[in-house]
Amino acid sequence: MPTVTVTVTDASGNVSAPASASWTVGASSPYKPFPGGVGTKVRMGMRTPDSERIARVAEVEAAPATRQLTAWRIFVEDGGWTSPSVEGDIIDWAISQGMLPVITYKNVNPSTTLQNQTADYLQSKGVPIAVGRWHEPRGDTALGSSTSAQQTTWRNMQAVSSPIFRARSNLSFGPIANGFLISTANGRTELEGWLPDADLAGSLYDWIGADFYQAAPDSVPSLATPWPGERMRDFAEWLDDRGFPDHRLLVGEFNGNHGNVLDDACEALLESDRYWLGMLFNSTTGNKGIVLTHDSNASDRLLAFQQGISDPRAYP
Amino acid sequence: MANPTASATLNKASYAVGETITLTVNHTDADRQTLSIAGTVTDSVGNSANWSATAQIDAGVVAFTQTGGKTWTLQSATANQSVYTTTA
Repeated sequence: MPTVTVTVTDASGNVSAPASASWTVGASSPYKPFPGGVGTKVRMGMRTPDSERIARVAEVEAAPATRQLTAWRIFVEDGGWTSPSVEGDIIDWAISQGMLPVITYKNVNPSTTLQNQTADYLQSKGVPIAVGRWHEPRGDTALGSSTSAQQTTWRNMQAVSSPIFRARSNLSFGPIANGFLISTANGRTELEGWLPDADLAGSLYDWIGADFYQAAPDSVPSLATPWPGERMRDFAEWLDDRGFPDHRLLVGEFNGNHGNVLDDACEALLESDRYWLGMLFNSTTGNKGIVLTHDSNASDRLLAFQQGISDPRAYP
Repeated sequence: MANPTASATLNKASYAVGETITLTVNHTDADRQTLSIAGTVTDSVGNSANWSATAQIDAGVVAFTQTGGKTWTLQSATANQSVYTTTA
């Protein structure tokens, strides 16, 4: 811990006793520190289907990109959480590539034993790993028959899993909500039901996450639809306005229909140290994203993302 | 004459890389005095005006005996307080 020590000498040469002050550097004050969340640079990551993973990563990291991806999104879907080491090969691959794995586990009621064994397995990797439970929960009938029932189930799920994963020193834990809800007043009211004050005020979460897409990506692209960068900024401001400025933020998935939309999304991540990690969903799976390609028009989506990951504000 | 006293306080306990660190050094010295003098000046044709002046004597000099690896830049100083900054 660095220390500064001063003395004061008067005109007669009398010297005071030394006075010292110490500080720490690295924790992104004023945010709560957590594994992997230290510093102000943003981890820029990605997700593709496994069959496209190697080719898409090589494509994104090729010139003119000057930096590499530093986070990788991993999904363990409902029913797939059958062992502590599920998706272990992808986790190991991501770590070997210098990427921070961001893993969300579904299954409504996994045993406490399985959760503890999974936390131990991840902890044994010896590097920071971000963990979430049941990303983008809105409308999932597996959680309940109504929105309020789904919110109750989901919040209980977070409350059970958070202390298990947060007890491991390499792991951080947070929610990943449906970010499109931020774009309307009714959506914000619903979003508050998923992320109520009671859950944000305590130590339940290391970071707050959401997914942000441009609206209707599988239809004719329109610049008039809400942009993901706009939604990212609105999400941060919404949390600030509610009196929760101390969590760092994570984008579990993002994508946009045009190069300038992706430019803006990357800038929204990079311009503020509130966001510590964001991952582009480089896939058409679920009709949410669009695979990055070079475009002969002025709007080049692949180039926009390559410029984003190469920005000096990107980790490391 | 008594030794001066000093205290050193930072504006925060933890900083992000590149953030400005502000160090406030309060330094009191019972021996320090402010000398005030006053008088009247009269010109060659008889016009007169009052004048006054103050002078700080025995001012404290802050010295860094350990810098924490930083170069500290003085931002402001009064008789009882000096403020320095550096970059984390």
